[in-house]
Amino acid sequence: MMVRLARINWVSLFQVGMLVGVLASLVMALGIQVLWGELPCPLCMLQRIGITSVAIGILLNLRFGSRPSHYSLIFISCLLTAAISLRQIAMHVVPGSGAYGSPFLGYHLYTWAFMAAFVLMFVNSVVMAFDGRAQRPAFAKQWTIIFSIFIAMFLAVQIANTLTAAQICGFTQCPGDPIAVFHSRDHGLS
Amino acid sequence: MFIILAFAVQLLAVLFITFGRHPHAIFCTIISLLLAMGVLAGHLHPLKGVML
Repeated sequence: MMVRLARINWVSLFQVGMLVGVLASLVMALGIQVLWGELPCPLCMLQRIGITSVAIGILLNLRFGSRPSHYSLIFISCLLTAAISLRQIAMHVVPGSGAYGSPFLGYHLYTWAFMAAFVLMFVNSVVMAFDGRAQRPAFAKQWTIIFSIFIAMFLAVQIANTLTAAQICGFTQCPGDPIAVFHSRDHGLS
Repeated sequence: MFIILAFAVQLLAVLFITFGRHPHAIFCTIISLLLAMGVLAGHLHPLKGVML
């Protein structure tokens, strides 16, 4: 185990840190959804898709070794997440237009998503600058405990997100304000 | 519907990573991103109603 850990260089460790951060944000979004009863709107779900793609890019780097295609995947995912969250910020930026969901630490989740995408782009640029082409995959061919934990967490979050989307949208158009829709269903209004 | 599909395809990508299928995982991730972009484009379109 110690030998395996010694083989992991600091770039890989940094990427593990990034993965932990991204997974934590996804788990937190799910936690807020379950604990506070705040159902995700369609744009919120699209932001989750973007952030999940970032996590997949990092996981590809760790599993198969660093490649330019993985980094570009992370960048494109960050850009998509930033574009979606900026769209949602723009929808609510006009005074009196209201907001979706409750604020978390002073900001709404879509604002946090925009900031996270921006920070991830910056961090990814720094990691890419220090990443050598001869980078050895951190988890290649070795089923380490860490990799198994990451995969298990990732699968659990992804299954929960898929089921949530299926519950809210079904096979029709997703409701723009699912909280209001579910509230009216509870009271037999729809 | 496209959002569910995007999540499901991402789930598939994670499974492909688990079993060491690199090109399949990349392909699935790109497809999910394209689906998300399509939904966003439908949302931004003035006709709306395309946001499945």
